[in-house]
Amino acid sequence: MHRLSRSSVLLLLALIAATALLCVGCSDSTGDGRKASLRVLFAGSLIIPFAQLENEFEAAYPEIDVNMEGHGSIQAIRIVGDLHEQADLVVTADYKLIPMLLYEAEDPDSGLPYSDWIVIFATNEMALAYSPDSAFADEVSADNWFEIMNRPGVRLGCSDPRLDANGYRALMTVKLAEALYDKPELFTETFGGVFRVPIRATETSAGTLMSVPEVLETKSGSHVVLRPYSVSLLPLLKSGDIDYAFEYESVIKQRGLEYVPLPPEVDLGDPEYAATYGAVTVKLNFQRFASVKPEFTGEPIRYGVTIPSNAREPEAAELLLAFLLGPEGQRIMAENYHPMISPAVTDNLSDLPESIKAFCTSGD
Amino acid sequence: MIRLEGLQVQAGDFSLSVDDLSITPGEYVMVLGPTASGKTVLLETVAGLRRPQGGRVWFGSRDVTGEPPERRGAGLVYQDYALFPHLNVAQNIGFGLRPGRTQAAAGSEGRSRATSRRPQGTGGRVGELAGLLGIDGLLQRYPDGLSGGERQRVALARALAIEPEVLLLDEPLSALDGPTRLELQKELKRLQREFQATVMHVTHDLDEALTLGDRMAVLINGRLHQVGPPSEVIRHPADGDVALLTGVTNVFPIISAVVDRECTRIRLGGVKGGGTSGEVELIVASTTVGQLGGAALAIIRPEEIVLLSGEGVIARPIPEAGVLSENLLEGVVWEIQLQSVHASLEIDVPPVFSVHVLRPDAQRMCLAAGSRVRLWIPPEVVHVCPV
Amino acid sequence: MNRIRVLSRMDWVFSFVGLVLLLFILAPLVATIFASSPRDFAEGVADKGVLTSLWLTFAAAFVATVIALFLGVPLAYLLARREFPGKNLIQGLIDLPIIIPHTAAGVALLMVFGRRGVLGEPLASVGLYFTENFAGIVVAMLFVSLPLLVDTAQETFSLVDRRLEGVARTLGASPWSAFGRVTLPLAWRGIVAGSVLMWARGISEFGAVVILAYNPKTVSVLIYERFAGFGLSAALPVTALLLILALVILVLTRAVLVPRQRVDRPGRGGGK
Repeated sequence: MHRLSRSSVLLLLALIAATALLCVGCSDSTGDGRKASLRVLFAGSLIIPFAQLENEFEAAYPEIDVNMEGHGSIQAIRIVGDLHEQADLVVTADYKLIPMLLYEAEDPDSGLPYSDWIVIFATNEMALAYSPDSAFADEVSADNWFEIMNRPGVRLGCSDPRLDANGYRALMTVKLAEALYDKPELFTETFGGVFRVPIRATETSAGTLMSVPEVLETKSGSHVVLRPYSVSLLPLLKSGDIDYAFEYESVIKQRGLEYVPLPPEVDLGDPEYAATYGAVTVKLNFQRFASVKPEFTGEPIRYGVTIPSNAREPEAAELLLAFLLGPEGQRIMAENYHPMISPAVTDNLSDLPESIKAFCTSGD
Repeated sequence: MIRLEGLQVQAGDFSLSVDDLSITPGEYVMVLGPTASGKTVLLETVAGLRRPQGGRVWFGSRDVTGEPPERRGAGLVYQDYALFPHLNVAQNIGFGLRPGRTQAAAGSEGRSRATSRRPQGTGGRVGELAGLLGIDGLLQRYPDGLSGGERQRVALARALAIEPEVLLLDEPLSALDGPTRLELQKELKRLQREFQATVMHVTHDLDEALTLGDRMAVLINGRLHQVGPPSEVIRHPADGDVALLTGVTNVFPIISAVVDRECTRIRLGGVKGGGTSGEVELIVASTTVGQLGGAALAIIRPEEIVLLSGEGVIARPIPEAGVLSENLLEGVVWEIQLQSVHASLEIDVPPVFSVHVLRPDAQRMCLAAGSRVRLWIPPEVVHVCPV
Repeated sequence: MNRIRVLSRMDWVFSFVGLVLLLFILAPLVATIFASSPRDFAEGVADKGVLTSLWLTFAAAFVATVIALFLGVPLAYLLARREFPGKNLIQGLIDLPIIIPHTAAGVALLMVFGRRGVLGEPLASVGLYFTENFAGIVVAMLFVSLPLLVDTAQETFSLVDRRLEGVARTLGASPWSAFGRVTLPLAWRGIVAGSVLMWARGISEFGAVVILAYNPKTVSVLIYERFAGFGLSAALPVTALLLILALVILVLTRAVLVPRQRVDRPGRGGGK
């Protein structure tokens, strides 16, 4: 380049080469078997507690290297089921997704389904996050949030129901709020006219069915801002580009944000209200690309985990899962405001790895 | 009239200083100097492309020191012509004639005038200049398709087109081969007379300076050492540096001097070019020895020394009233080089003197290394100057 | 002039090595194009959303490039021609966007151009928004790819002989005139090449766009979303279309930009 002399260029190249060599030399190699490498695909709402989990686990098991990859719940599973990639542990914010997408999907190499068991280990609640500078921040409370979020000029952040469990849960929350606050038009007020192809809500004998179209695009200037994952909404809160966002309570508390705690009738967090939750269903209504047309009926939020059949380091994965379910994991999750279910619940106790059975009971 | 007054220019590590240099309108001034003597810096400062740290530049009665180049009206021609590669010859020449050009002050003295007084459009003027320089057949061509000589003419035409106050030529002929160079030298002289242009022409070639210059300024290492008519400068260089630059190798320190009523005797000596050291005593006509307090040099042009062979054959006629007994030296031919016109000889007296004679004479005298010869140095050709 | 017809051994080695690299680029391209059946491909791209997204992406990159031309070319000229204190710092600053991870750039831009940002707030009051907006896409693309334009332009300017400008000045041209009549005509090709580079780089921008202006969706965001949400087969047709379009555009631009070799004509007198 014109402003680097020859010797500077050579020096720079040497530096780069040296650094590269250093990195290669220092990196863990699984080739000689000394260090196992785990790939964990997990729901983004666990990003902070899982970072801590990684550190503590690696400290306890220095011969195992954990690689954490946060994604939306649906996407995490698709990486295995659709892309046929390898993962050692898959964690989702909606446990139902694993049976839905992995029990039927076959690993082309082994012919086996990717999974046949799931361990349900944590819960969460929906809440409405905001920042001190948000519009009407001084006014908002559990009694008026549904009205404030629709006021002119207020921008509401929501994650994409096609990609993130938090997204369709937000739809459910709003729909459930209609019954609670006796505001039958709330869903339409919130989401009507926002999308180019609207989300249709139809009443059936079983409850309300909300149909999400394949292409979900917000019209320009709409008061709802859509992002693929709920964590992407948080920077927008900070920059002032949205005023309120639907997010899990654990994530909100981890980040120290202001929030409106939602009533249990709508927050999908209280097993007592499971029947109420069941009145709403979200259907992802696409025919072209999905292998199944997923339908999600409202239920208490349950996080699920499994070890796929194509895991490369199943024993190490078991160690990590045991660590998560055991006292260390419980402490970490508690420190991060993420409620755990203990003992964990599984649908297939007999097929669980031995070391995990101790932490689980059978259930649905 | 171009005048440089107290000029101080800094270019990187190099500094140029010109105390006083004036060029009268229509004068052709050569600036002679070795490479890296500051010649380009000088021209660029006059043109306005460089800012002096101190001093002034005058174009006539205008102080242009602070003026940008587009308002000065100095035409600049570089050694490698700097033609605009994306324009053809006609567009190059006409570049300064288009609107988009800021007007230099009208009516300043000493501006070059076109020979034709008829009012012409731009196209006409370009064609006229091209004709004057003999390149009118090339108007549609592009610079990369021209020979060196052709490019030079285009560059000249381009500079002349704006009727410049002064024409600044930076070694314009150095990149050309011998015959083309001579041809263009004649052209330059002719053009300058026709346009009555004021010219500052920079070169390292002494003969070029002698041919073209009305006056010559010697620039060495950023300082002007001497200004004067070329013939004057070569006969009476101001100091040893100028002497060396003007082709004199007979430069000897004066060891002692005795000033008499009638004449001055000096003793000069030194070692030159591998020869032996020695001292000789000469009578010189110059009276300046006494005025020079400290060290002084004796300078003798090689072609002014009279060469006599051992048999008394003389290389050239002796001036009248020559006193043959004084200033007669004996020596041995140390080295002889025959060139097309001249023969240059090194004669070890000692010290070694450089002598030039016409080649046929050298051959007639059967001179060869080792021949014994005698030199006679006319007193009036010994020039004395400070170190 | 006779062309040299015999290929040296060096030619063979260089060609081979180059071929390896070309295959490296070609393989993903070919794999993507042939991964979907023609019907899937037709369906995948007939989607109006795809075409809108492509148009949007190209247009935003174009706007970003134009802005960079107006703001960056003068700067490039100054850097090429002048010395001044702090020049090294400025050069480093200009190259910074290339090194910064693009998500980091996106976050930084959000802080500035978000509705409560230093620039975002005042501009929002006059109705110019950046998040969820075309303007945001332009800003993101501009930020991460302007070094390409500025560096190329600077390089190009420094290759133009300074003295040509000087001579133009002595002939009466003002600095503007010298720039416009001499420098620019000699530099325009390089500047255009830099613009194409910047435009191309802008089109592929993802990290910063995702954060600052996820909507309306540029084609890179669209592909990502299709892939993330619907799997590989959803993303392939759009990817393939983009690859083909990009290749066509790049080839066309080169054909226009690179001048055909001028036939050598020796001048009179031996071409000295």
